[in-house]
Amino acid sequence: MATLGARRALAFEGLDFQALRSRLRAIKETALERNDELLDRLVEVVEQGGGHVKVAATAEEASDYVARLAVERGVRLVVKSKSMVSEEVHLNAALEAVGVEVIETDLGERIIQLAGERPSHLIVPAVHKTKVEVIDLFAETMGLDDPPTEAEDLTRLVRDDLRERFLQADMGVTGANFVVAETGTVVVVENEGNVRLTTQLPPIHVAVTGREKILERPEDVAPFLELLPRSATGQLLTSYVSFITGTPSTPPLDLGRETGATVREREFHLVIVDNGRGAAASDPELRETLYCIRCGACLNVCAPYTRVGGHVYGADPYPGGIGCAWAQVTGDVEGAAHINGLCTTCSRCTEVCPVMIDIPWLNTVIRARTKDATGMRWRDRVFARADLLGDVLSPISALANPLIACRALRAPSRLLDIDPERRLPRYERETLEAWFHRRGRARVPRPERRVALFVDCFVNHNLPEVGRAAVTTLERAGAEVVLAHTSCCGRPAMSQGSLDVARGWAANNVEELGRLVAEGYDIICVEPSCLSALRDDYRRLLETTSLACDERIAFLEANVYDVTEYLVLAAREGWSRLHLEPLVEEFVVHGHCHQKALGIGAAPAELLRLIPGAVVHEVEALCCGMVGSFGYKAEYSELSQALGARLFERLNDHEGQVVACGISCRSQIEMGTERTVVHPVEVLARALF
Amino acid sequence: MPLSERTSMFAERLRAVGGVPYLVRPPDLLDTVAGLIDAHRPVLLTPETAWLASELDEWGIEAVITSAAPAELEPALRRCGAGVTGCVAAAASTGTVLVGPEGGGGGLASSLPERHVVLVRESDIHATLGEVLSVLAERFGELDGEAVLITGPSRTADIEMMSVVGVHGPLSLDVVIILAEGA
Repeated sequence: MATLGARRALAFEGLDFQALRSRLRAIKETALERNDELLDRLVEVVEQGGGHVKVAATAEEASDYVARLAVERGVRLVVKSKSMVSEEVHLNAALEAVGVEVIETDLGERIIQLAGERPSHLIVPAVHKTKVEVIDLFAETMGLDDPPTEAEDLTRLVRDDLRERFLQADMGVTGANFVVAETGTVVVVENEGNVRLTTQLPPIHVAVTGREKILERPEDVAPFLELLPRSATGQLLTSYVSFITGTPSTPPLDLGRETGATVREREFHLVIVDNGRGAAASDPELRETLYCIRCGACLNVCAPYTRVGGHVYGADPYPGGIGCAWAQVTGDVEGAAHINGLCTTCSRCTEVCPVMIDIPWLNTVIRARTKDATGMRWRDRVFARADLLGDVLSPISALANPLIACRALRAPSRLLDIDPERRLPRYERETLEAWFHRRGRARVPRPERRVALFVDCFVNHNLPEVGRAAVTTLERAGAEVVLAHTSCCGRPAMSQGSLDVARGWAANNVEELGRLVAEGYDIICVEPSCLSALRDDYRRLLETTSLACDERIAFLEANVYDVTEYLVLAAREGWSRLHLEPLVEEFVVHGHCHQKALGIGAAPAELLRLIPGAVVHEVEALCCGMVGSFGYKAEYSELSQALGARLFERLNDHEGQVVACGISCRSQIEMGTERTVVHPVEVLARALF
Repeated sequence: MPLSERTSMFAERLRAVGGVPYLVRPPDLLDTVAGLIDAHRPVLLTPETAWLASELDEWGIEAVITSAAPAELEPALRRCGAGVTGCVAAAASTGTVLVGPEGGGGGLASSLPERHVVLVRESDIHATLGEVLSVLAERFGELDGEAVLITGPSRTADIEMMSVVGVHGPLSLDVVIILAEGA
């Protein structure tokens, strides 16, 4: 069977994903802006049609309403289809507390229910269970001596087991993927057919959903049907998409249910849950969480989630990075804080999200709020100030480096919750800036371009040789190089949740780099994480400051380049004067997550291929797991290594020099493969005539 | 897109999602339907497909209509082996059929039995899902109750992500495409 990734790729073939998701985003933005008005309209339309609407301010209010309704109608048995919102409001517990039996009918949810667990994925709730575990579970809970062993027979067993429950249930509970205000229609997307039985057989249908699911018109649903199934399961369309308006026109069936004598009319109840959503809608930093259509695409590509699953990386009930945002929205601040540190900002999720939610940014924002609420650990304060570390340690590197390298002396790092097995980077006495100053600006005759190198904290203090290679290569390519006198890019501070610190630096950098851009300089970064801050994050970071909408941010975004990207462009545009000597060697290239997210993942390998004789192996772009300071943190160090394991294997499939652009990738790969790693410009510098 | 090309694309996409297309001319319709449901008695019909009842009677196939009185309908719901519905519109791009409530309880015929047989007029097949959704939006008012887009039989991948066909909904979906006269 094709993997989900392969099916997904096939399902998206020939589809203009970017255009479609911009459209989805726009529909969601408009609908949410008008949410109050659409909610009023929806209530009016549903009530006109004879239905009932409960707008519940809190989770308790929602589950109480359904429990009370069940008691009033004499309901004994409820069949339920999959609904994350019903999990959010703990509906089953509320119903069971008043003596109502609840049967989950989605196969995955049923497995979870029988096992007494909570879902670990948005779409595949029992994805953490193996088939053998399911066989044992069914054998035990259904009292089978000889349970079937094939997935197909296990599925059929559940069909037969639940059929009579569907027929006898007094109430059916579903969620809703979309609710149409103009017609009062609930739209539910599913594959198993249990939603259909849940809504048609029992006399009472209760749909529980969040208020953010309201769209205005039936037409607004259409584009979502293009992307939701493709994103969730790689299907062009799910087996069923039900548009339910009110109740079936036929009288309720009496199939031996408990309420056969009392409930003689069909009823439809729509429970619209707020539970923090209204407040989030007017919170510019959290608002985009509400665009989420729960497709789970972000989870399927998430490096830490796919390693540890939703029970570790999840806040009840929503898993993964988006789960952290949902926890924050629904008031589970503790749950959000607990899992917040697991987002590695690898940004794969932003590439697949059908409504373009910037999940890493949401996690960054939540980290900042957590820090404001609980204070910041000393370790994280240190990691946030990569610039200061360098300023302090570089001048005393002769003293500092042996101390850093000495295993015995690394023990105190335990006190800071830093993994003592991790080797911290060494500091160079002559920084890149000092070298450049000593050497003086090189005269490039009739320069093709003028560039300003963004001097990042790590290249300046820890790997000035990479900076020197970048300067030399750019000059030989025909660019006149200056160093930009800037602050730290702000990435380390953002990673630790120090957004105010990062904002200050970003403002300085926009000022200084904006001036250089205006003077005709292109800005060049060596570290992809810094580039990603400058090109991708400043706009959002500065949204709440006086620099919001400052045109210099757009100029900067348009004129800042990764050094490998820039040199490849130079060759492509025909102005590069690089003459490269043959290097008959093999290179194994690791692509940086941020390069991939910025759409320049191919640049490092392409650059190396300019060298005659070079044999370049690009390995699958997997996250190395180091992610700045993440891997140093004692609580994540083991996970960090586990995240990198697959990448290490792929790299070790090939002989040759390992090449990577990020400094943290470099230290992670060196530790994981025991091979040395260099930056592509270091290789290029060796090949210069 | 010429009609026949659209029809063949619909058939191809339907097969891809596990459904089975049958292309028939009007005179052969009854034989085809009877053949499909013969081993799955009794059959649920909707008010829209109720006209089949007397014809199927000749084959000795018991049929119950979803709008029938509870005393007649309810026992049939536990025994029914197949359901036959019509279709509002179909989409070639995804192999999807749009089934309405068909005058009452139509959803029971398409969700409860193991086998669902859909009758589709060739002229109701549209090129894209978008066109079918436009039809749905236009006719929303009259499709009161439940309107459902059906794309293949019921399925799941909840155990170790292994695809299994046939969960709570029909185990098989047969779409009988009634070719336009003279085609």
